[in-house]
Amino acid sequence: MEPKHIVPVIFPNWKKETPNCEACQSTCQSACKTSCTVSNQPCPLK
Amino acid sequence: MTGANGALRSTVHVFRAGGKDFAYDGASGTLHVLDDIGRAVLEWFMDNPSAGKSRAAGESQESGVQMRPGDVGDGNSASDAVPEDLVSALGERFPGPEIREAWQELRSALGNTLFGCDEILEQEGIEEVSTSPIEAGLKSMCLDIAHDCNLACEYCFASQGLFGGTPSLMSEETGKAAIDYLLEASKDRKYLDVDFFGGEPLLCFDTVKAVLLYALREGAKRGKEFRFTLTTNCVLLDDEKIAFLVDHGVSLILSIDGRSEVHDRMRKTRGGHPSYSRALERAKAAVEMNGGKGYFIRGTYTKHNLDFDEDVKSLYNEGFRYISLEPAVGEGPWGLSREDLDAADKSYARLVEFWLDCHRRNDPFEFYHFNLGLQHGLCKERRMTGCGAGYEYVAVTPEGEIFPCHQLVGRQEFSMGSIRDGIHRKDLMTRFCMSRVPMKPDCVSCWARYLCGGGCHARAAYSTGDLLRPDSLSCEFMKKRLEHALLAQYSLAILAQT
Repeated sequence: MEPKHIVPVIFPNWKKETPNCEACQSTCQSACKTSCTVSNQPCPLK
Repeated sequence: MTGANGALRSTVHVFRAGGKDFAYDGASGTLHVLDDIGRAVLEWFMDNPSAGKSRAAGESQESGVQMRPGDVGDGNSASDAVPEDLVSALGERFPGPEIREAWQELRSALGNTLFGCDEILEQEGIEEVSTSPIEAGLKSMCLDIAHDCNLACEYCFASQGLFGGTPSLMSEETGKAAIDYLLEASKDRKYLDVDFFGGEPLLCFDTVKAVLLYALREGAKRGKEFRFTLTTNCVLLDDEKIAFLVDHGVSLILSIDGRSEVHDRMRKTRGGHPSYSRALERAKAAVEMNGGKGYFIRGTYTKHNLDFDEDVKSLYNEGFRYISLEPAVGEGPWGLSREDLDAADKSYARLVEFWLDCHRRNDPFEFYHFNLGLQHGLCKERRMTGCGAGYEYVAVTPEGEIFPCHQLVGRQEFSMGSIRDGIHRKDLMTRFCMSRVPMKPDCVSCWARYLCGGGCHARAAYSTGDLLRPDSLSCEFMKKRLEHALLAQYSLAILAQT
């Protein structure tokens, strides 16, 4: 039966590992750098 | 509240936003919507973790919060009966059959989408946190082209561009040497990132141009590809510079705070004159010449503009569609404090509404901090750390000195070496690499741990002096912002369905 009181609505699809992080720039998360705007985006390798 | 209860509450965060109740599970990252009964039952369970026979297995674990699907009943056994205490507690507010229904839903979720095991914390014990990313080499470099600035922004972490020192500009020779160092230190990586930063990098645009062209040329020889960004206050961004940057695919970070009076209060020229009009006009020109892409407006909000949703609206109304606003946490009359949280909360709530309205009108904009990467796969590494400062990413001063990141430039205890002699502080590389969620006591029990990655290293260094102890005020603002980001993602998903 579908839940109606405690309803999971967003199931993350996080990667369990880091298969290839070439596309991720690994810089600051605070968005004071463009690179972080990329790293906080959905992973382009997904 | 007992310790176990506290642990339960730190693993699953129950909150209200946009007129709805939510439960976010920090381990699995699952967001739940709750109705009144659902919230009451869940909160009752979090206050009574020993309720229900089958939970004994979960309680026996050291953390007291993790459960596995096999630990819970199937909804049919005697252990799935609704606890009498729960009925007593909620019976006057809700009908018995609905309490039972919500209880069974909760039990079905236990060990799955709620209170499940945390794979990262299980696999990444403190002893096993890997330093292998160091071996992969550098991938990003921030070049402080100028330790000088034409503006004197009151809240500038770089002390108006001087980083606590005297004005200096990076020479072409030093810039090229930095590229050589990055090419070498990046080992087998193919994609490299360079940010032209300052101070104001346009004070020394000849170096920017020479270094960029050199990187492209030398990278091509080695089969490496560069991506460039440039962070600017826009005042010196004339058409000729824009054309060069656009022609070479340089992404732009444009510093504008929003409304003119907000911007000009903090971002004055060295002569004390306002900079908004010029910055706005030049930013618009850059965005237009780049086809409306390849940029982010990066503003700052302070104690003086806690209605910062109005600043986002102002930027949107000026035509910008990629926007970020950062909270200014630090010493100074502009610095945010805990007493500002409530106002910031309300502003984020209004911002979500505006953001959604723009989506509904089919003219959306991107607000950086509403991008959580929930459904498209943040990788394990990105969940464990907010950035790669100190081992994947470094900052270089005009003189060629290397620091872990742009915000730590000038802190001599973080000086790692130089582009000519290399990084000699391998201990710092290891220290930064090891500063991940599993190593941070305040983070392992925080529901937001995999959304923020443990916070900003530099902020921790400035605030607590310990990379493993994040700045608690920054955490409070982060968590408040994340609640609204979760609401935004949920609302957008609903909007997409309709």
